[in-house]
Amino acid sequence: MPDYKEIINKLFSDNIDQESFNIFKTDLSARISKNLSFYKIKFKLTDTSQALVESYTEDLVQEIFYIILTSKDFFSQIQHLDNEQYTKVCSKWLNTTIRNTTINFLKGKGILNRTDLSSVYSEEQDYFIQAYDDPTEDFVTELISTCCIEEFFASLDDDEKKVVRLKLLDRDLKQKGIAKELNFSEAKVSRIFERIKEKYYKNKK
Amino acid sequence: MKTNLINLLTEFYLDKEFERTEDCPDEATLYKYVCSCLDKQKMEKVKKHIIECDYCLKKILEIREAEEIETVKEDKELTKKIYQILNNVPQNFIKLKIKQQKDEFSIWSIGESPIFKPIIESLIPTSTVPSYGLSLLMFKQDKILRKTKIGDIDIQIEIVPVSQHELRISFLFTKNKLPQKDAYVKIDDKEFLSSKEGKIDVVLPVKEKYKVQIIPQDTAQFNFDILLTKSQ
Repeated sequence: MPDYKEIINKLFSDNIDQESFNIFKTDLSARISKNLSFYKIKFKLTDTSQALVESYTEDLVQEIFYIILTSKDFFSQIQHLDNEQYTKVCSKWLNTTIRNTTINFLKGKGILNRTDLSSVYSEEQDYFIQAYDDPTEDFVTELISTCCIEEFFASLDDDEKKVVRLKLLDRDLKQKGIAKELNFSEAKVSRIFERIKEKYYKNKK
Repeated sequence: MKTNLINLLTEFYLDKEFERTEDCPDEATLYKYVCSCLDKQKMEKVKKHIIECDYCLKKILEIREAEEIETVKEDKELTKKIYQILNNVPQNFIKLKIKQQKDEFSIWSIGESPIFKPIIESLIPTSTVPSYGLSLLMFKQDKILRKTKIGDIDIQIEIVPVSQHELRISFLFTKNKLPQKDAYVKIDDKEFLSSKEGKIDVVLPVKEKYKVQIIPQDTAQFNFDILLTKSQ
């Protein structure tokens, strides 16, 4: 991993040497490339859509680079971190910025829309499903559509939403841990889980 | 087939837009939280907020998904192509954008071009002209060329500086590779009709914004702004 603190500081002080800049561009290229590959698989883009993405790659790369160059404020807010922490934060920020720019780009060009999200749950996409396997099995359910999920989410009350958010934040958290985090009794968390399941099945039908 | 509600909710959050609130921590704090770079007290405070906030949870889930992308096998050919593109993007540039209603995207960046540079400098007051040090490491681009399609009409747009004060904007309309005459373009208040070769050539004074309306045929039209904006 490149020493991002040094590279970014040089970049923003207009003092970057060619070697550091090449390291930066090489790292950035790999990140953008992986990102495009990821979404081609995740959203199962058709050949036509893939060709469209390819024809717009230059625009996308320019936009990502532009966003990096106009994010001086973000980098100044992490300037106090030591090199290791800075690189960690910077790496995540770069990946997320590339991810968000790509998604906005795909949506903006009409290559991706809401209904495409259903492709994420197809049988060929077991990779994603396995990657998210929930060890507590509190929420193991059958496949439902994105539309039902929206209605299901809207039907949750504040406590149920808190439990859901906490579970999304920390997938390994079990009932006991959730109770402790939210200052609820275990019995209350258990009842909340039951209600969530009931609402889920109700909306599924 | 079985899947997991947590996955579905994750995708739901990633797809949905949530409102940022006044209490939301700034972007840097969320990244520091994910990387455990905050002290214990602040970590707890941010966590407490996320449990109450859909907007911040979505941000965290975006960061997580982006992490997952790191594990994808790299397509070396694509990486090479992207590197070549990056090699051509200057650090300090005037950004030329096409702006539509919801779709705003930069389409060209102009760097240290000997032809475009005077135009860039004429748009930016001398005192704020950024250093071009980094741009010198990169490419020199003298022409802007863009291809697009509206319905079954192919449109090529070219922008070339004629002098320090004028730009030539050219359009070429074709249908199945044959010239499309009677295509119509309106730039600001001026109207232009394509020739029998399907061409429109317009020389305009340099300015920051042009409002463009393209009507390649009766049934379709395309409105956008060409913006010349500073990157810094």
